[in-house]
Amino acid sequence: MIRFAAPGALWLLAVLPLIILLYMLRSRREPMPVSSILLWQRTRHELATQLPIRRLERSLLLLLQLLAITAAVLALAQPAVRLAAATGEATVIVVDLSASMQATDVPPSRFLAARRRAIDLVRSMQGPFMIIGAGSRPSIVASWGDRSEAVSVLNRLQPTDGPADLDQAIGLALAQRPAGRNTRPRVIVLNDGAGPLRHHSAGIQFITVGARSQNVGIVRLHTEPAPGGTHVVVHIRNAGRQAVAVPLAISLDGRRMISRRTIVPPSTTTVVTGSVRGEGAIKAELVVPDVLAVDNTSYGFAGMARPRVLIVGAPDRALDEALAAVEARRVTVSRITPQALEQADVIILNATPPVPLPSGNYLLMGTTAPNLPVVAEGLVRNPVISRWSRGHRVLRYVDLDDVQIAETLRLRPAGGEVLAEGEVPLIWAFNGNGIRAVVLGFSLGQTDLALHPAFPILLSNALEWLGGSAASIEAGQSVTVPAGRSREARLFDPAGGVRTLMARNGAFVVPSLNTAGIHTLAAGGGRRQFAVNVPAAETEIAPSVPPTSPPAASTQTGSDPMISIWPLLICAALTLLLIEWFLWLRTLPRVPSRRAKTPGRVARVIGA
Amino acid sequence: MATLLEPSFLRKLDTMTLRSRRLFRGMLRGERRSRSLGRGVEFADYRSYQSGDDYRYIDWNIYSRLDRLFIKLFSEEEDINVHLFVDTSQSMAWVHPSKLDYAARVAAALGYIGLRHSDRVGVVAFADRPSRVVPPHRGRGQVLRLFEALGELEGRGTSDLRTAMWEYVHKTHRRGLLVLISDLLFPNGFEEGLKLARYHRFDPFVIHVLSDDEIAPQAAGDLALIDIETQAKVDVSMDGPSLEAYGKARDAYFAEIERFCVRHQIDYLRTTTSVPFDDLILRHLRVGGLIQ
Repeated sequence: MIRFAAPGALWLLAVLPLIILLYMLRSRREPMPVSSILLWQRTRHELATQLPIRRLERSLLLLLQLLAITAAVLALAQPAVRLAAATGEATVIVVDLSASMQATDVPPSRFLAARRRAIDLVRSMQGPFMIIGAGSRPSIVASWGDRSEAVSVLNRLQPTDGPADLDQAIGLALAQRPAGRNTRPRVIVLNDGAGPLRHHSAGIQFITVGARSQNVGIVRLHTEPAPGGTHVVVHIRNAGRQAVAVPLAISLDGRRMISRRTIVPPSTTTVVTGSVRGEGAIKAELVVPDVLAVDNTSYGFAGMARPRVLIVGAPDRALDEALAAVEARRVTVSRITPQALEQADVIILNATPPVPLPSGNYLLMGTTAPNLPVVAEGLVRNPVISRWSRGHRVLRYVDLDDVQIAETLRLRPAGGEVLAEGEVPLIWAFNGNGIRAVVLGFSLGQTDLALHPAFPILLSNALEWLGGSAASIEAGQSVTVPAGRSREARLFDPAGGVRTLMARNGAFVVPSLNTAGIHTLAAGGGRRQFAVNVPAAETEIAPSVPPTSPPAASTQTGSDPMISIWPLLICAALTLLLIEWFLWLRTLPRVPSRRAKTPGRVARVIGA
Repeated sequence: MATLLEPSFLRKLDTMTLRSRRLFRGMLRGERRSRSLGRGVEFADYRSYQSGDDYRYIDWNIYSRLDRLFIKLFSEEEDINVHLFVDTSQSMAWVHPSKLDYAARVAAALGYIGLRHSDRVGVVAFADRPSRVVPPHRGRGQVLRLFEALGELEGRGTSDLRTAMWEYVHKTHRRGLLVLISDLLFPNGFEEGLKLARYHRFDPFVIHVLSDDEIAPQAAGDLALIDIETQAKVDVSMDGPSLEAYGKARDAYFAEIERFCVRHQIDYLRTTTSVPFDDLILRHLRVGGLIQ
C-alpha cells in the first residue's frame, strides 16, 4: 500500500499535458542565414510549416522528460510504502455488530460476509491482532494475539439486535498498543455504514459491506391505556425507494388480535393503530420477506401494572392530578424506611432536604442528593428556559415554551446529562451507581409548569424512563432495577436462556440486552418484564462509506513501519534527466537517415 | 602561390595537360592538335599539289609510284584558350571551408596546367556580372599573375550566370574551354548561361562545388532560413519530414542538372568541399576527362 504524505503535490502532474503541448507548439523561429534557400523553396509546398501546432512525433526525449517529471512529482508527494506483511504491523479489526448487519442483501448476510473478509485479512497479514466488537457498547472480544487466535474469535462472533457505537469502537481501537510498541496500530473497520465520526478517520481502513437499501421495519410500538383496553400504535418505516404493501399482525400473548394490510410509500413512516383487550405482551409483526427480518417484529405491553409512585415531601395537588392522569399508582406509607421505599417503583422527592439516596429510581423536584454528581450552589431567580433536549426520552413531546419559573436551584452537575437549561441547568438526568434520577431544579410551587400540557407528558416520560413501568427499551440498552432486599435475580431472555444477576449497591444492573424480544427479571417474589426492540435507526440499511481524509503527517511516528520511497524517485528522476541530456547531446546534430540518402560526393556526367 | 597550391603539388601537375572536347583554332603554335592543318608533326591527310605549295611537303614516294604530286598535310598544334569562370557570389563564401576557396584552388590548378603547356589561360570572377577579368595569356610567367588574381577573390553580390555569361561572351572573341566552377545555386537558373556559352562555341565544363551542409543540413529546430544573397526568408522546421523533403528536392535538382548537361554535351562534375582537393585534381578530373 502506498500512502502520500503530501498528496497535494500530485496536482503538479497536470504539467505533463503542458509539456506535450509545448512539444507540439512551434517555437519562435530563430533566424539562420544560409548560402541559399533555393532547395528549401522547392520543398515548401510539402511542409505544413505555417501551422502553430505541429505533429507530435515519437520522441524518446519527450518520453524521458515525462517520466522524469512524473518521478519528481511523485517524490514531492512523499510516498511511503507500508509493508505490513514484512513488518508485522499490529492490527485492530473492528467488526460492526449492529442489527443491520443481519441483512441478507449480501449472501449469506452482511455480518457473515464481513466476518469472512476479516478472516481473509487476518490470514493475509502478520503481526499481532486485536478484535473489537462494535455493538452498543464496544468491547474488546480478543486482545492482542496471533493469527489463529484472531480467526477463532472471529468465527465465534455474532451480531446483535442493537445499534453499533462505531465512533467509540474506533476510539477504543486507536487507543490500543501492543506490548513493546508505541505506534498507533492499523485499524480496519468492517461495517455497513457509519455516520459522522468524532475521531479522525485518517489512516483507518473501512471495508463496507451491503448492497441494497430496500427494507421495511417497525420502528416504534407504542401502547396507551384506552377505555376498555389498550390502544396500540405501530410505526412502520419503509427505508427503500419503492412503495411496499405489508401485512401487519398484532398479537397479545400469542393470540392474533389485529391483522392489517397497509401500503408504505418509499422513505416514509406509516402509522397503524388498533385496540386490544386484556393484558399481556404485545407482538407486532410484519409478514414481509425483506432482507432484514429482525426489525419486522416489535414488542410491547398492554394493560400491565402501572408504576407505583411514592411521593416524599410536601403534598402538591397539581402533582397528584398529573399522577392520576398518567394512571400511576400512589403508594402511601406512614414513615419513610428502606422497606417502604421497596414498595415503590419511582420515588418523587418534592422539595425535601438533601439526603443520601439508596439505590432506586427518583424524581427530584427542587432538591438534590449528596450522592448524586450534582450540587446546588444557591438560587437563581426568574430563569428562562432557552433550550431543552427534545431527543431524550424524558422530554420527548414536551414543549417548555412559555414556562415561567420564579426560583430554581443553581445546579452544577459533574456528570449525567443536562436536559433543559437557561443560564443554569434546570432539568438534569443521571443513571449510575444503582440510581436513576431526574432532577428538576425547581419545585412545582415555584413554576407554572403544572398549568401547561407539557407537565403530564413530562411526568409520564419521566416515570417510564425511571423504570417505574414495564420497560420498553431498545436493544443494547441496560436497565437498573431496585433490588430491595433481594440479593439475587434471574434474567430470562426470549430464547429461554437464564442468567443470574447479583445485586450491587441495592440494585440489579441488567446488562445490555442485545436480543429483541421479551426479557423477564425475576427477583424475590416479583418479576419485571422488558420489551426489547430493534432501534429505529437499524431499519435504514443503505450502506454508506464514511468520509475519509488523507492521512495526517502526525500519524507517522518514528517507528512507524512506512518505508519512504521518495529518495528512490528522486534518483530515478535524475537518472532519467541524465539519459535525456546525453541523448539530446547525441541526437541534436543527427538527422534521421540523411547519410544514407546523401548522393555521391563526386558525380561525373560526360556529355554525349 | 603558397597559399593556393603547394610546390610539391605543382610538380605533380607538370605532366598533365588540359583536354577539350572540341578542337579550337589557336593563335600560336602550341602543344595540342588544332583544327588547322599545317606545320605540325602529326600526319593528317594528303591533297593534290597546287601552285605555291611548299616543296618540302611533297611526298616523293607517291610521286615515284603514281607520277603525280601530293602534298602531305599535318595537324597544326596550337594553343587553346582556357576560361576559368569562377562564381564569386556571396553564397560561395558562406561556410567554412568556403566553396570559393575550394573553387580558387581548383582554378589555380587548372590554370597552372594550362600555362605549363602553353595554353592561354584567363580568369573570370563573376557574380551577377564579370567583376574581375584576367584576359587569357600564355606563358609560364603568367602563373604568378594568375595565382595572384585567384588569391584575391572575394565572395559578394548575388549570382546571375546568364547576365555574366552574356556580357563575357560578347567581350571576348577567343573561344575555347570554359570551366565553370560554381555551386549552381542561381536564383535565375543556370540553364540560360550555359546555353549561351554553347551557342558561342565555347566548350563548357561544369565543376559543381557544394558544401556538406548543403547536401545534408545539420541545423535542427524551428528556423527562419535567410538567403544571404537575396535576403529572402523561408520558415522551416528541421525535423524528419522536412529533411526528407529537402533530400528529395536536392536529388531532383541534381538530376535536372545532369539531364541538362547530357542533353547539351556539357561535361559535369559534382563535388563537395569535403572531398580532398588532391583527389579531385589528380583522380576525379582525370577520370572526368578535363585533365590527361
